[in-house]
Amino acid sequence: MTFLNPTDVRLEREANHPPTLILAGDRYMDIHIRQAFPLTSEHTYVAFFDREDQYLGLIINPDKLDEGSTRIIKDEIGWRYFSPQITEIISMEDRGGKAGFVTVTDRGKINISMKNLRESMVELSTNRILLTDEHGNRYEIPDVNQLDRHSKRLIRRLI
Amino acid sequence: MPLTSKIPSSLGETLHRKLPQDTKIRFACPTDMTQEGMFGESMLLVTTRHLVIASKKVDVWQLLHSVPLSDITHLKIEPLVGASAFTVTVNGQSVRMLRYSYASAEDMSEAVESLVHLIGKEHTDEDHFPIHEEPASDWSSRAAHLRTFRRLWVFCEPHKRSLTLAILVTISSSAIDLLPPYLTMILVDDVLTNPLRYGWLPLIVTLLAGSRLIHTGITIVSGRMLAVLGDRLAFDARSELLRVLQLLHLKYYDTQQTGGLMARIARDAKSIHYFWIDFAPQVIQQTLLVLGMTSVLFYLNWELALLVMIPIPAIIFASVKIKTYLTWFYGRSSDSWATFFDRVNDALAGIRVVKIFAQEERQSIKMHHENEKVFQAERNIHIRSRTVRPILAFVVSIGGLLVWWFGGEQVQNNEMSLGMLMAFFMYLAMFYGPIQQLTGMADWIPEMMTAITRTFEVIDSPAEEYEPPNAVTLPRIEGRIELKEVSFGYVAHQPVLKGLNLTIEPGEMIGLVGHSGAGKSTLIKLLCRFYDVEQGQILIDGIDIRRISLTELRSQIGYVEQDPFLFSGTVTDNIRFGNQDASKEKIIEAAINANAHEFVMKLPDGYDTLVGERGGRLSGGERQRVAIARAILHDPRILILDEPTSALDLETEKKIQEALGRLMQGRTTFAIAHRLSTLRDADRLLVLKDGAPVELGTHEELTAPQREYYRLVKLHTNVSSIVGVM
Repeated sequence: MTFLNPTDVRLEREANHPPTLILAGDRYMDIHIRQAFPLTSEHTYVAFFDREDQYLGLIINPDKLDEGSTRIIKDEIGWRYFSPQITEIISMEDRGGKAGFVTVTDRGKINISMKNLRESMVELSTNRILLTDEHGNRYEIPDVNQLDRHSKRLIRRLI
Repeated sequence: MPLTSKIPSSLGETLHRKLPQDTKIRFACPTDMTQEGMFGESMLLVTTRHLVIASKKVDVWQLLHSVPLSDITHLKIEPLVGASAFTVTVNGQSVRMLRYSYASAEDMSEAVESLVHLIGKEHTDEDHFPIHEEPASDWSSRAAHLRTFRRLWVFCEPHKRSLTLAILVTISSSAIDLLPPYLTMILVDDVLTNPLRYGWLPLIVTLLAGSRLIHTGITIVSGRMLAVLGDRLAFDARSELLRVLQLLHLKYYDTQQTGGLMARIARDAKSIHYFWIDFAPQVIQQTLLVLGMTSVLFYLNWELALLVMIPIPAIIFASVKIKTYLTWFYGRSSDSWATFFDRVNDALAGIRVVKIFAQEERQSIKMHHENEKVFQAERNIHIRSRTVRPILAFVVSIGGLLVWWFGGEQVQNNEMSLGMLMAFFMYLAMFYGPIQQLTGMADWIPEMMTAITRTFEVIDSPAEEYEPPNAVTLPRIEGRIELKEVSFGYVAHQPVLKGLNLTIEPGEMIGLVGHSGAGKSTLIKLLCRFYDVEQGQILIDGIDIRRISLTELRSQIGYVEQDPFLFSGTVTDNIRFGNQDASKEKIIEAAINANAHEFVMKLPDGYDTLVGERGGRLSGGERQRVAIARAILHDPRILILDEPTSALDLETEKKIQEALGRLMQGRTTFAIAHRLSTLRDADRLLVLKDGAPVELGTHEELTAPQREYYRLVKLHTNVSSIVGVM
């Protein structure tokens, strides 16, 4: 079977432990989850892997599961995919391709420095930008239009 | 075209003298080599009764051979190295008729084919040319230039209104320029020297300032208009180039290097911008200025104006000479840039190979060498143009000196006012300025025209014929393929495939086996219609492949290459390359069937992961499986597999094998097979040797010791076991 049937899937967890998957009656402890399209269809295509990193299956729209399982999946995604969202750009400088941004994100204020602006900035879709800093950390601007005027003016120079 | 080639009149006379009076020429084909193997003019002529070879020696045409057509039993084109030879058999003996370079190869092939046809049928007197014909006029460069100009206009036509407006604004700024010298004359003659009019001073200065201000404003407006228009035109030209590059025949890419093409897109397309923005408006503005200033100068003082004209012929003559002189250097410069781009492109694309072989230094030296050539070519231009321009400027200044001398005398004798002399000088600067500008532009022309012509050369290259006339629609190919006497060669008359006959039933899998160079890949290229068969036919569901709409044909062919090419973009982008509307579920399904899903899911961004240039961030086995997923989603009716020769690890190999098995189900499949398992799975195997089919049958049938197939398999398994041991 290509995709898992939501009625066969249930998740449980104890605090601070990786979740357990109950798949058609079989229990898999310490599973982890990955998304098929973490950037373009977040929270929609979720795959389960067992303790040995063996693929167990993929479920479309985990919202169809019971509330507890949906919650666990959401938490797990939040735990695995750390991608702060930029809410404000305070300043920006570009020294021959090497760039520095001072930003405010939903996870706090951060200075982002990038080695190569051209390669570090990806426009995922119109007005949606992904920045990767020189250490490989990632930051997202979900919608340029939602930024304040000053931030918008700064980022528009680059896109 | 050989059949329409005209006979030079001097050759006509020779023919008249040497051949019977009633002789008529059926057709002729000019070639480019003399009997001695020097470049020169030769000609193959077919008359009513003879095959004649003529060659030009020191401006005189000589007949080298004249063979009665009825004595010829065999004609042959023999490929040499760097040239070809045309030989005929006359009364059982071979006679070497003619040698020619590859430049004449296509025409000669056509001519010889016509000749074969002619000898094979009854001789008729139709289709002949009279002997006396004026030589076809040379390709006139003026006509070519005119054509280029016409093409340039086509690019500009959609924007003609804004261009006209911009040019009008530019011209009006020149008109404003006429004012300041006139005001200066009034200032010097009437205001500064006449105490009664001292009060006019603020007014005149205000007028001067006003005219300057208006001039500045107009210059800004026209500059901005032209700049926007220019970028738009460069954009249009690049778009057109990029569109055409996708449609061009593969043959074109066989002869072009990517670096050269990149240079064209980046630099040459910009030349159209230069033409319309910098060149055309300048020429119009400056020409009008020259005409306007000439009238003003003559109006002010006709004697002085005449003196001013003295250096003009010298300036024009020198400019024309300089232009011709510099054209050559610009050509070299653009060549060296193209080679430079090629080398750099090559070196960067192959950087891994360079590093593995520790050839960084040699590569650097090589690139340095190309860079030096660019440097020399550029230096050649700049040294020359920087020498020539000051000399021209000196010639121009002679006019000014004459005005000082004779104008000065007139002022001393009170024949002219000082103000007028000053105004005359100011107008003179405005007269010589444009003349110098115009002559300076003379050395833009060659560079620009070369670049523009090259841009059009790409745009005009023949595109593939996507919808042949009377195209047959085949919305769903069943998959019955017939090869009938298929012959093909990349170079005319050097066949790579010879007389191939085979019928493949829908859903059948054919394994292609043979040494490298046996013609396996060529056969596949013919099936994809990257090339057309030279002789014979390929039929799909009973229809000649050349009559099927190309878009429809290729949309139903799937191709998994030996080393699959992935585009930079995400895994998703690559899997749905042939089927843009595919849903994410379908993409995952295809990946699962291609055994790609698991590894994709383990990539940090899953299907959203960027694969890098050419898929470089994935391993060879991963690239293979993404390519198989791409083919599965494309859902082709005919599948072509080119198995990689390099061995992958056993597990990956097994996964790919499984994936391929799923992909082949229900599709007519051609596989260039290297793996024994594929050979065993094939319904039939076609063994090719030197382009000819030697064996056809199943793996079991062909596994007999004396067979070619057996030999190949044995060789292969021996090699594999050695690799295994290592």
